[in-house]
Amino acid sequence: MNDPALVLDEFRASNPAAGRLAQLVSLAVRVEPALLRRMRQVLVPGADAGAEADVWFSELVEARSAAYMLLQPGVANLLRSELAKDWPLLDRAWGVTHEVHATVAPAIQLEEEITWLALKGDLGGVERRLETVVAALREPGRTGLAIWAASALPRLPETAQKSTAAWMLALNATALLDSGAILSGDPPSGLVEAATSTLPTNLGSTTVTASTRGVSSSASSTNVVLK
Amino acid sequence: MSDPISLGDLVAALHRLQPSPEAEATIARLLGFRTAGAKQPTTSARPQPAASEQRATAPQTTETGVETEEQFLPSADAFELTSSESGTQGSVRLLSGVQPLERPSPHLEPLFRPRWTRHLISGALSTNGNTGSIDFGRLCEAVARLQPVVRLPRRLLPTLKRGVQVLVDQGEGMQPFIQDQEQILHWIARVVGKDKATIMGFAGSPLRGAGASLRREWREYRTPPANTPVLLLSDLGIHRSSRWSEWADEAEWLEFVKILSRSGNPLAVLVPYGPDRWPTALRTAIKIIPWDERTTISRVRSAIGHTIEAEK
Repeated sequence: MNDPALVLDEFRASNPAAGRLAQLVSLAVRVEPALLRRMRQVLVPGADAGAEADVWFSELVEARSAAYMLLQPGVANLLRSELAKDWPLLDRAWGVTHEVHATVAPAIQLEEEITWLALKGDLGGVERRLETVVAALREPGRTGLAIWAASALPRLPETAQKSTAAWMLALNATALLDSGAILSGDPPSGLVEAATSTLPTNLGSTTVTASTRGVSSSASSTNVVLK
Repeated sequence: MSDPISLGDLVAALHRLQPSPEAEATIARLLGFRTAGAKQPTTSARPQPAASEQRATAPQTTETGVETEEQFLPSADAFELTSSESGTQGSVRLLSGVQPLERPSPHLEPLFRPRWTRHLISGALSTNGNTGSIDFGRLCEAVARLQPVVRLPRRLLPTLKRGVQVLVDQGEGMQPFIQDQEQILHWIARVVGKDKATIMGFAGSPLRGAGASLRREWREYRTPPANTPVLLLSDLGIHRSSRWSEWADEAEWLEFVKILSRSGNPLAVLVPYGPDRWPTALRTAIKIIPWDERTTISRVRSAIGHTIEAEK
């Protein structure tokens, strides 16, 4: 894959309005034509619908279908970090995203809200939102939520990924899915205590291993080990 | 070419003459409509073709080549619907009261301002018809020249009575605008009438095949009857990729324009790109309407120039 910064620079040079539109929709987990449309109409009013198609068919996109497209993760992170430098614009972009996505799956709405809060530096808000998911995972039959967490956590801004709640969520999802590491890097201090108090009660024997390489689990014992 | 008789003509006649119920039936019959008491269509054992397909079907003729009554029933469907309540119970009752599955995607803001859309569409699709008041100037001139007056000259008025053939670009380049196309089709059904709109899909250009059904059933493109306007919902190949096969170059579009011109069909195109992106060769050859929130009635009039003079 090409360097996201280079891809972005090249795209903006050929179509500045579309570049701005791409930045504004970067908060979204997935970008539908409806989101591109509303964002352009509200925040890039000088551009015509061609800018929507320019984003849609651009190299910034990782995958697309008739219903929605996904930005490349590296490009999305870059665009978000730029957007975070302009809080009023960030808030307006969030407002449009929240409005257009009012009917999409709650998990997607939550991920977008956490992204917005993290970019604003509201880590308390991030923790509270993620804790609701951790609490939900303690209920039976929430494997789907664990699967979502496993895919969503690595997509969140770095500050959100470093939160205790994100690691607790990773631990819980890992334990439920019996999967490999979800997050990488150093776990926050106090994670083990937090984790042992929040792990799902219906796991049986589980080893949860937190290390500098991430958090993983295996269904073999009841120990929580921090290497 | 004479005007096709529409349901509106029947309504106008009944309103003006205020006839008795018996006379109403006679007038309707004379105008080519079947009334509730006539041959009952009720439910057919096989599925009825879509309205668009019905219009695309060639007029039926007898073995002697005489046109059958069916050809003079342009709006007979509407009458049939009112007379077949007792015969459509099967599939209709099956779904009565059932709410359609909710559309999962977020609401798409339209490209035309909703308040203006009706006028924009009617402005784009209207053709001139001799349906206005009597043109006394032309009448006097004809009389003064001792020319026989076999038909009262009337002033031209824009009309939608000729219907429209809508060609929907289903190529990759229109992927982000699929819902916009659906919205316009919805408006056309409201403004022009479902029974007067023939909807066909194509990819690349209509010259590669078009049809109202599945792609594999698309056939060679056929122009509608002369004077029927054609509306394209397309990007005219503006967004193209070397990985795509479904876009047409300017030469192919110009060939298509030539065919429509020969058959006497006015063409208008809704393009979701600004004028700076329109292919140079097509700007003068095709009446392009920017598919955009800023498009106004006067912009459409300016793009269309004027409605065609269909009748002499």
